[in-house]
Amino acid sequence: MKLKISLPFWPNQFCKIAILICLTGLSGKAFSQENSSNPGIIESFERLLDLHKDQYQKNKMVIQSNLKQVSNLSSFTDIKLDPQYMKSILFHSDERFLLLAKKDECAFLSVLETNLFKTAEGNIDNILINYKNKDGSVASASILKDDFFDQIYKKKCLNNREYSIIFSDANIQKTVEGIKFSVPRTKAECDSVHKEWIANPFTPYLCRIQQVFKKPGLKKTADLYREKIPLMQRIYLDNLCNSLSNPEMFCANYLKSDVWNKILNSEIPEYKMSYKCQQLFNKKEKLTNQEIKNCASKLASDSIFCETRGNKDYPSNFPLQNCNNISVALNKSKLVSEYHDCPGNIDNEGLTNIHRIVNHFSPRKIITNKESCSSESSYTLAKLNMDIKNQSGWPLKICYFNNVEKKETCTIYIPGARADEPLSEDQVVAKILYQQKGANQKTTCRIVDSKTYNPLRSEYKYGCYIVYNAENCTTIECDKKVIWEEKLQSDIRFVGTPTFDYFPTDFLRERFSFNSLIDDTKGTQQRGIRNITDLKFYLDKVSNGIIHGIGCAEDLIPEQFQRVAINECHPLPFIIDGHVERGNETLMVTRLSIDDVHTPRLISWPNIFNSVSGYQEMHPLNTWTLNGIKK
Amino acid sequence: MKILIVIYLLSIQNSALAKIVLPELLAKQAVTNIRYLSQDGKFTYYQKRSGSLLFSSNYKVKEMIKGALGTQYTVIGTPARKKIIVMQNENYHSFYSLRVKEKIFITDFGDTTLRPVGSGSSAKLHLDDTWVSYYDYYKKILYFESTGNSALKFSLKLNNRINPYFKPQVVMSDDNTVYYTDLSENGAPGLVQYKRNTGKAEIIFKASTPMVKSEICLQSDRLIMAIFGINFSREGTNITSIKLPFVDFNKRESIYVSPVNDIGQLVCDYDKESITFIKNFGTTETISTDLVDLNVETKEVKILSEMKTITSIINMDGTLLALDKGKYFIVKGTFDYKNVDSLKALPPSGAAEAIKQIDKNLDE
Repeated sequence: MKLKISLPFWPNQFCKIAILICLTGLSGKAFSQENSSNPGIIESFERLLDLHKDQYQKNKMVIQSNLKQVSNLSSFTDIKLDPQYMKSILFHSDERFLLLAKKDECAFLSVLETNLFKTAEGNIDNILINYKNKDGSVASASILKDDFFDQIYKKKCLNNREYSIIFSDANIQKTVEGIKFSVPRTKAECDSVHKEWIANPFTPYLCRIQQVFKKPGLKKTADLYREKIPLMQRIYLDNLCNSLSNPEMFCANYLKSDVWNKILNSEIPEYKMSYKCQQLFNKKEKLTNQEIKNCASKLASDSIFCETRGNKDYPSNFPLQNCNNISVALNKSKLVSEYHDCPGNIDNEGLTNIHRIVNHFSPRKIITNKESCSSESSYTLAKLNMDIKNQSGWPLKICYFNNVEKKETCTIYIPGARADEPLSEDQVVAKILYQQKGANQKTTCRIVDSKTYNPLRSEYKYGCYIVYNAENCTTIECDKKVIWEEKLQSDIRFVGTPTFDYFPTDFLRERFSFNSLIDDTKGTQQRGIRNITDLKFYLDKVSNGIIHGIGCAEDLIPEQFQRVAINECHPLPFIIDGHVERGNETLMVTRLSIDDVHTPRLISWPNIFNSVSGYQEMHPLNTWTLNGIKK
Repeated sequence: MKILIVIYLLSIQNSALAKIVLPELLAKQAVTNIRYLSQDGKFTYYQKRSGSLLFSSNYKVKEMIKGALGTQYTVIGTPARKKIIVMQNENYHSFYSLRVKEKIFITDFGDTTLRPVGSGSSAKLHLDDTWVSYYDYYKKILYFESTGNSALKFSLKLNNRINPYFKPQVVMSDDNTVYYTDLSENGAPGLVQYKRNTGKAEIIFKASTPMVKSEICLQSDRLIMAIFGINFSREGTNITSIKLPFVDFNKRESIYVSPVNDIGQLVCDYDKESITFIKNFGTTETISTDLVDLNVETKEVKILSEMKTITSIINMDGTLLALDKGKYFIVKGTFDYKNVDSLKALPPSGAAEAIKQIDKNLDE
């Protein structure tokens, strides 16, 4: 028994018409029983389709009415697909999948098996074949698709049977996990990857998965695939199967000049995307290289995806920017930001800006998690103060009754729990308990909110807890209690508010303003930026230089913040770390201190200028609060 | 603030490029100190760097309240001219917070005796100044208090969990009804109608996307709601109007539509026929902003400025002000710079002596 399938496939619809004309012309004998005329080349494609559909139905009716259905092919020889049936597949199937089937007979069968072909009737349930009887006469028959492949794969294309098994619902998860979904970096590499996928015998089976998501009637299977196949792989398959016949389209998603691709190519640091991707895909742990690649593909192809996702565990202003604008901005962005901060959890917007500026010039290892992200920002400013021995200038203190000195004593602390910082809130309280209350030297304190703290539960029975009122706790004002061994330590109280000058507000305290602190401790240098020419020069010519400033929120984003009274101005610190030309306008790559650090926004110069002018009018020293800063 | 001089800036450049030239608001003392000017020029609220809020009228200056050095005040009035809100932020230059809880006081219009109301942000007067509302960003609660009887109060808890910087817009159409904006779980803005007598809050509108902002205001007997696309989205602008009271909010009438995202900042209490807002005359990507009047009956749009970079519009006691590049410009108003209190009742010693006296007070 021999199945003959030796049809060439052309890559476009016009060629399909041409092949059809050739087939009808050259294979006239095969269709001699029909009384139809061949379509001329000048007839419309619609006319051809109608004609073909009519022929197909007639042929099918002849085959199905004249012959009984067969289920066993073993007694037949020289089995071929019925030419009219074959013609219908050519006519109605997507060229992407015809290209896949072009390779050889087994590839053709794989594509037919995986429901990627269509006939005039749509999906294929029955296969129409011609064969020779034992007496040598030619006959036609219709056979159920499953029966056909069950028997054909016993005779040929034995590997296809294996493929069917490994891509069954039971095995699909493991199979997909084992497949390498290569993300190309260069044009040559991309062409090569595309060719490999066309030649890969798994491709029809993978595209069957992609097609399931396109068909509303297969929701149950789609849900199963969603559960078993990660989003990254599904995105990859969507791109692959949509562009099988178009390598340029396949590569476009990987070779764009967008920032995501540059990140993959290591032209731009990965952190500009990785923290966003973790949030976009709800991952706590670091993403694998493959996941990063697939995330880049998603960000490049679905611009609105970024508008509402990317800051879930790290509250900030909402909604965010679209992926295209983020890409445009990040392409020109210089800010070093290997962390994810949470402006929404920090009351003082100045702290967020300081944290970002200090870590641009002196990056430290920051462990990013949603529990500690706000204390990391406080820690940055606290360290600046400690570094210039300005402990007396640090406003946050824990006061307690000193049993030795018989009076209240106060000691400075840095908010939050840190194992590596003796001045952290938890360690300072533990030390007080040890020195003043007789607690064990190894006592540690846990910071919990009042909703979580439940003294009835055994885990809160023993040890030290710093309990804050979740309903009424801001950086400037927070109701906190220390509870040790179930007893309230009423003499221990937290005092002070983290207020400080960002730019100096009077000459006496100038050296304690952030502006001076960073120059003193980090060796940075600053100068005022007065106009857009200077701003562009500074950003372009000073390699690590960025610009920081304070302006009225009502001018920076007037679509969100509105003045209702004369001279109303809510000062909002920001960083500019790049500029973009769009038409005749220059847009600043800006990180407002309420925005997500990995979601820069584009703001026009007039808005920046208006905002700084507005705040200058309010400033006690009439200071122009827009400085270039470099190290 | 005693002598106000309005200078019409007719620079060569402006006259060449723009047809509409707005006069700049200038004053004897720095405009930046002014917190409220009455339209008839009879009194002024202004602040000093020392942390004081002062009231001046008829050559007399009175300190109303004193805060720490650098304290910032915001003073708000309405066309009803019955009450004035004073908001005080003592850590203005040392604690930059959009959500800061400012101390909120109230006084009679043109008076100096402050009554504390609470602490929060976005204080606003309603219903001919008979109610005051303010918002607590942290608790996400809108507080309402009667200005006539402080025992009469109620509050509304917002749903918003997605944007820590979202500030609701709120209006009271009558003693029983409050309309306010809120955010849904996915961040899309919505409009809620709250009835005090039943205690029920009903969502009467929900935007289809989070990429818009919603503004509301009362214009005569109409509720105006505007939806503006934000963050370079393609949502454009849609302003609608519905007569109060209404049964079905879906039957509101569209009075303005634009494919471009306008800035907004509706001012609905300046006159009875029109609302004023900041329109984007550029594209969604390249913004060019100016003021327009929108007639709510004829739907006609009239351009009020040609400055291209206006970011704010304020109705200060019948004078419509626009802010551009740190300067205030008078857009509308019958404000007469000659009819200010300092010139109205000159002391026997004459104007020069009066000015000297005022300057002395200010310099203290």
